Amino acid sequence: MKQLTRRHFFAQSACGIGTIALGSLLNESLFALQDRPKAKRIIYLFMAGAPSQIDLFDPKPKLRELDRKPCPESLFKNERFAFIKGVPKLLGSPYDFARHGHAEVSRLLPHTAKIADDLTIIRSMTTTQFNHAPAQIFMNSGHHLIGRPSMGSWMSYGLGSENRDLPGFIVLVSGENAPDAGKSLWSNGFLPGEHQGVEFRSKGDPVLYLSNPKGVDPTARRDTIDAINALNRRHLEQVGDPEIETRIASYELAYRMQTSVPELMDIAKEPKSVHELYGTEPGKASFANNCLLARRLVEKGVRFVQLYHRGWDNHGTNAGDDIVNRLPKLCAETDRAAAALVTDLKQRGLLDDTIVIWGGEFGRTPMNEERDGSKFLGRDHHPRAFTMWLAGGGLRHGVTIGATDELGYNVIADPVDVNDLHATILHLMGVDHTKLTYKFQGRDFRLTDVSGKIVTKILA
Amino acid sequence: MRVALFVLLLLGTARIAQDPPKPDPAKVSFSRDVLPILKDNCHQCHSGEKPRGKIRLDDRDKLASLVVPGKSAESRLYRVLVAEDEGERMPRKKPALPAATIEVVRRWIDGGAAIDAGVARHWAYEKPVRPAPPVVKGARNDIDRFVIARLIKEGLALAPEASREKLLRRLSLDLNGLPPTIDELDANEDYEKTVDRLLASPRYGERMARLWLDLARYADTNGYEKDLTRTMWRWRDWVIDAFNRDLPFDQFTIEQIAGDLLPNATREQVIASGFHRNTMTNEEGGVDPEEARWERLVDRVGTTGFVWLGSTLACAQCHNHKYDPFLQREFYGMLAFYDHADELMIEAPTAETAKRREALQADLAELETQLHAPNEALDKAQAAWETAILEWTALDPEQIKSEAGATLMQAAETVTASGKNPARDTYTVYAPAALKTITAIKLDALGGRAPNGNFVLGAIKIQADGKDVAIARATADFSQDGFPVEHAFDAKAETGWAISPPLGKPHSAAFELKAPLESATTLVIRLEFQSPHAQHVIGRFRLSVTASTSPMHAPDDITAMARLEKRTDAQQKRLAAAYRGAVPALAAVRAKIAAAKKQLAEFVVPTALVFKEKSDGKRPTTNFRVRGGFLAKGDVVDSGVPAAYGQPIEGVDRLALAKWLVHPDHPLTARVMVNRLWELLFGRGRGESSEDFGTQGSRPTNPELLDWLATELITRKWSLKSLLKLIVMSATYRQSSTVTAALREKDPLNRLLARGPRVRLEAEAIRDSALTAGGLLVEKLGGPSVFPAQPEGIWDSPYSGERWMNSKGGDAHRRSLYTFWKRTAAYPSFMTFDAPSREFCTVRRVKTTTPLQALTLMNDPVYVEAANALAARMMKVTDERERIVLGFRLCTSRRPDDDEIDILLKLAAKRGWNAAAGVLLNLDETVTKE
Repeated sequence: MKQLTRRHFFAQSACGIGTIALGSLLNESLFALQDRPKAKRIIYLFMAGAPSQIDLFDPKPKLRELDRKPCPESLFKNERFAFIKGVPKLLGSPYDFARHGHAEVSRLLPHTAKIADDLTIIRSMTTTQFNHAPAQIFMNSGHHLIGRPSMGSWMSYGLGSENRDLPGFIVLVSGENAPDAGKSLWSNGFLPGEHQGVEFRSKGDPVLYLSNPKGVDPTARRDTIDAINALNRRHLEQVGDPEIETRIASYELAYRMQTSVPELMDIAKEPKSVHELYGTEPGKASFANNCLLARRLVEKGVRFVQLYHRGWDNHGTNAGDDIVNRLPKLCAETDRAAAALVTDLKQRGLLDDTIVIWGGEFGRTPMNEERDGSKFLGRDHHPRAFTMWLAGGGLRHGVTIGATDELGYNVIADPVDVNDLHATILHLMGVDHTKLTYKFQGRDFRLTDVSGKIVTKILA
Repeated sequence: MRVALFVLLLLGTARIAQDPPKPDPAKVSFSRDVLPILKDNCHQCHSGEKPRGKIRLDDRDKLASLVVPGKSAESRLYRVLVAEDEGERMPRKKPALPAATIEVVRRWIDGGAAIDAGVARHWAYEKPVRPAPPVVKGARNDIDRFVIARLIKEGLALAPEASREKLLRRLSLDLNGLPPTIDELDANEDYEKTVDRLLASPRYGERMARLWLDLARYADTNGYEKDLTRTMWRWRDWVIDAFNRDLPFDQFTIEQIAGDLLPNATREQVIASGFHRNTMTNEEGGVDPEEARWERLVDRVGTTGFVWLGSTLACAQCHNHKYDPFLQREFYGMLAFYDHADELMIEAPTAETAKRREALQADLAELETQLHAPNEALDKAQAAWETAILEWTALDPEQIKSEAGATLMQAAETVTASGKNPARDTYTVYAPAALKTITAIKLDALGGRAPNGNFVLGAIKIQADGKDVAIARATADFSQDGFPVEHAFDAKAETGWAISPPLGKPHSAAFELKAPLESATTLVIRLEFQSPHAQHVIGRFRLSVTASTSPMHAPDDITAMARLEKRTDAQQKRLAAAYRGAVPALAAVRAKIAAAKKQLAEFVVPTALVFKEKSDGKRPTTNFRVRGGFLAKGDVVDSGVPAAYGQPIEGVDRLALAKWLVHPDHPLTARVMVNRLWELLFGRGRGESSEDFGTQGSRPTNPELLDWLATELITRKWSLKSLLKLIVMSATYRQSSTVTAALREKDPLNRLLARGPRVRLEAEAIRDSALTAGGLLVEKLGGPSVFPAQPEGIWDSPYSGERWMNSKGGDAHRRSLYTFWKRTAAYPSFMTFDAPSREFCTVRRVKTTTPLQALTLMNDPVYVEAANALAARMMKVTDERERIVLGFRLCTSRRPDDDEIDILLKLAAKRGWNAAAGVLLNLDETVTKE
C-alpha cells in the first residue's frame, strides 16, 4: 500500500529522512488513506471564462418562447450581477438541441453528442462566486480566496505520482490567454512546493529551463552532473545530512526529465488515425494538441493533468465575445478533441480508471446582458446553475442528473456545489475527503473546507 | 523517551506532539494526556462563556467538581463516558470514546486527578515570567545555560565550535543574506567584530526585510485576474531602513499598524501604515467593491493574528474559535479597528526625489522672476502693445453654417454653438471683409464643447471673394503641449491647436496672411474640427481682422483690461504678465519656462498605499457577520481585543490596538517575535507551527528559554539587533552542524540543538549568492522594483497589456529582494525554490528539494551567466589548482581538499572552465548554510 500510494516525484532514492520522508512523517495517516479507488488519475478540461450551459447542455424551450421579453422581477430582484443593470431581457438559445440517449446536447457540440453514452452530465452545478478569478480559484481549491492548494496539488500530496520521471500534477494551457486567476490556479498553497502544478508550455522549453544552454550537449551535461554528485556525495559523507542524498537524486531525475519530457511532448510520431481523431497538428499550440498530450501523460502515470482553455466569457459586448459568433468558434476549437480524448482513453482501456472532467467556473444568465446597449447577444456570469460533465472510472455512465427551472435560472433538483463535486472526485480516487488534511496556520485544512457531500447519484 | 515532545524552542505541530498517550498509571499527566482528550471531545459544548448544561470543562474549579480524586467510579466525568444509556453517555449523539481513551481518563482520576496546568488559561495567554538560567558548565551566555541543561537531561552535550570560515559563512548568510568575500575570509577578524560589522551593514536591512515581506504579503501587483501593477516599494524601503536603523520592534509595530495616527506623523510614518495595504485587490469588472474591501479587512485581522499574536484569529470569522478562547464577536471587534480606516494613495517622494523636484521648482521660480523682472524699456514698449492688441475689427457674419448640425447663434459679433454636439464638425463663416486692407485674422476662442471644455482646431481655411488666402504664420497666447497653433494650418486634419490646461479661460490666435488682402468684399472662413478627439469643437468664438503690419493680439480678458482707463493693481499686473508672456524679446526665457514646466509635469514621484483614519470622530465599529458571510449583516460591534490575552486595551482606535500589541505586559508579541528570530537562525522551518501559539500548537519544549528571550527583548527595549547579537554570540549558535548517525537517529530535526543548523538557503539568497560568486551583484539600496531576465510567456494576464521588460545594466543584477513580484506569475526560480506567491501572509516557507531546482541552477540564464562570470574570475589565476580553490571559496566559503580539486580539474580539462564553475554553483554546499 505504502509504495503504491506514496510514490513521489522527487524521492525515489532510498533517502533516510529527506524531504519526502519527513513529509510522510507528518502525514503518516495518508499511507492508509486510499480505500478501494475506482480511478487512479484525472484529466480536468477547465473551460475558463465559463461556457453557457443554456446554449450547450440545458435546453430551455420556455426561454425561447419568451425570447427578448422582460425578465420576471422575482429573478433579478436583490441579485448581484457582474454587469447586468436595470430590467434585463430574457434570451432564448439560438441553437437547437437533439436528444442522444439521456442527454440533450446543442448542435454546437456534435462530437460530444456522439459520446453521450460515456458521459455523466450534472445540470445542477452551483457556486457562490460570480467573478472569474475567485470562481476559478474556488473551483480549483474549494475556497474563493487565493491561498489554498489546488485539487491537483492535493492529489499529488495525497497520492503522489506513479511516474518517477514526471511531476504528479501537470498543467497545459491554450486559448486566448492564461486563465483569469493565472498561475494561482495550480498553486500548491501551503502544501510543500513539490506539489505545485508544473506547466508544460507549448512555446519554448516545455518545462522551464529543461534545455541545456547552447553548446552543452547531453554528454557534457552528464559529465557535469557526475561531478556535482561526486562532490555532493563526498560532502554527505563528511556532514551526514541526508538532505544531500535527496539533492543527488534530484539531479538524476532532472537528467532523466531532459530526455523523457521532450519525447513525451513530441506528438509528431502519433499515427495519422490519432491525429484525425483529435484534430491535432504537431507543433501548433492548441487545445486539441493538449488533449492528446494529456492522454500521453496519464498513460505515463501522471496523477492529475489539467487543461485550461480560456475564452468562454461570452458577454456579447462585441462580435468577439458573443454567443452568435464567438461561442460556435470555441465549441469548434474544443468539441472534437474533448470527445476524442474520451474515445481514445476508452479504446486504450484507460477510461476505466481515469476521470475526465469538463466544465467552467460558473454558468451564464438566461438573460441577455446588453452591456451599454450592445446589440450583440451574450450572457452575464451566473453562479446559480451550470452544467459540467464527467466521464470514466467509477461513474454512472449515460446519465444526466439535476434540473433547473423552466428558465434555467435556479437549480430545482439535485443541487451539486463545488465542495460536493470535490468530495465525489476524491471518493472516486478512493480518498475520504474529510481525511485528506494538512495542518496550516493552526488548523487542519482540506480540499472540501468545511463541507462537501458525495453525490451518490452519479456513482456506478 | 518522548523526544518529539521536547521541541527545543520552536513549536511542533500537534500531529508530532500528540503521540497517542502511552498508558502508564504513574505518569498520566493532565496537561499532556487528558487535556487533549477533553479538548477534542468535550470542549466544543462544554467550554467558554455559555457551556451546554452549564458544565464547563475548561475551568479548573468546575472540572474539579466533576471528579473525585482516586475514585473514578464516583466521578461524574468518568461515569458519563462509560454510561450504557445513550441518553446519559457523552459525547452526546456520538459513538462512545475508544476504550483506550477512557482508560487514560480513568487512570488520571485514580492516580489523584492532579490538574498540573492551567485549564482555562493556556500558557501562551499568561505574561511570560522571567526564569533564572540554570547553572551549568560550558556556557558562553544565558541562552546556552537553558540549552545545555536540556541536553544534559538527554545525555547529550553541545557539539564543538564550527570552523572559523564556516562560522563566518553562517553569520554572513544569517545576518546579511550573502556569503563572505575572499577578503573577509582571509582577514582574521575577531568574531564579535564580525557580528557588529554585519549588523551595521545596509545588507542587514535587506536580509531582514525578506522575512518581513512574506509576513506582510508584499508584492508589486494587485493579484487576481488583471493583477495590475501597484507602487508599493516605498513601503518596502521603509522596512529595510527600519531594520537598518534598528527601529525598536514596538515602534516598528506601531508605525506599521497606525503610523498615520501618530501625532504629527511624518511622511515616512504614514508610508509605514501601508503594512496592511499589501492585501490583494480584485479589479475584475463585476466585483462588488464593498465585498472586496470586506475581504481585505478580514485578511487584516487574520494577518495581525499570525504576525504579532501567533494566533489563529482568522478561525473566528465564521464561528467562535473551536480550540482557542476567541469569540466570533471578538473577531469583529478586531476588524472594527481596520473598518474605520480609509484606503488612500499618497505621493511619497524619497528624500532624493523630493530634493530633485525642489531644485526643478527653484529653477522654474528663478526663470519666472526673470520674466517679470522690472525693465524700463519693456514697460515702455508695453504701452504700445496695449494699443496694438486693440487694433482689431470684429467680423459681423452674415451666415454661419455647421456641417454636422449644431445650432450656431450670433450675438453682437460672438458666435455660440448649442443643440446637437457632434463628434466632428466644420463651421463655415460668411462675413463682409470689414477693412480695406487685411493683414491678419484673429480667432478669439471663448470655450470648447468637449466635456472638459477643450477643443482641437484641426484647420482654418480662408477664402476672399472665392480665392484661397494663404497663411504665413500664426501665434497664439497659449498652446497645449503637442498641439501648437501651427497645426491649425498644416494640411493635416487630425492634428490641431488645443488649449489645455488650464481650461475655462479665453484664448486667442492670430493668423498672418502671406500677402495683405486689398479691397476684398466677402470672407469665407472655415473652422474644421476633424481630429480623432470627439466633440473637441469650439463652442464660442469671434473672428476679427486687422490692417496692422505687425499685429499683436491677446485673449478677451486681457483686451478688456487694456480698454480700461482706470485699472486696479491686479489688472495692471495681469496686463504686464500677458505682455511679458507675448513679447518676442522674452521668447528665450519663455521657452525655458515651458521646458521646466514640462520637466516638472513629467517628474515621476513615487506613490504609496496608506491608511487614513475616518475623520468622523466616532468610535470604530463594524457589523457582525452571521457565519462570516459578507451579506449576512448582524448587529454593530465596537472595536476591541479578545479578552483571552488578559491584557486590557487603552483606547478604541488603531493606534490603541498598535500600542496594545507591544505593551510590555502583552503575553504574546515578544514571544512570537523572538521565536521568529530564532527560527531565522536555527529553523529548518518544517513541521513547526510558529504561526500558532494557541492550544493547537504544541507546547514549547523549552518554555523557559522562550520566556527568557521574550523578557530579554523587552529589557533590551525591543532592539532586534541586540537580541540577534546575543543569540549569535552563544555557544549554541556556534556549534558545528556535522552530525553523527546516532545523533541523527535520536534527533533528526535537530530540535535539541546538539549541533549547529544546516539549512538550505532561501530562494533569494541562492540567486544572490550566485551573483556574488560571479562578481555580478550590484549593491544598490532600495528603489523601484527591477526586472532581471526571465523567459518569455511567463506574464500572460487577461485584460492587461503589461509586459515583463528585462532590466538593462545594473538593475539586472540587483539583490533578489528587489525583483518585481507579480502575484499571478511570480519570478519562476523563486517559486521553484519555495518562495510564496505573496498572496497571503506566509509565516514560514516550507523547503523542498526537486529536479526543477536542479534544472534552474544548471540552465536558468541567470545561473549560466553567473557561472560564466565566475569562470572568468577564476581564469585570472594562473595556477589551475589555485583557480579551483578560488572558485570553491567564492561558492562555499571553504578550501577544497585535493580530491575535490581533482574532480573539478578533470571536468575542466574535458568540458572547460565554464562547466567547472557551473558545477560549483550547483553544489549542495553552495545553496546551503551549514
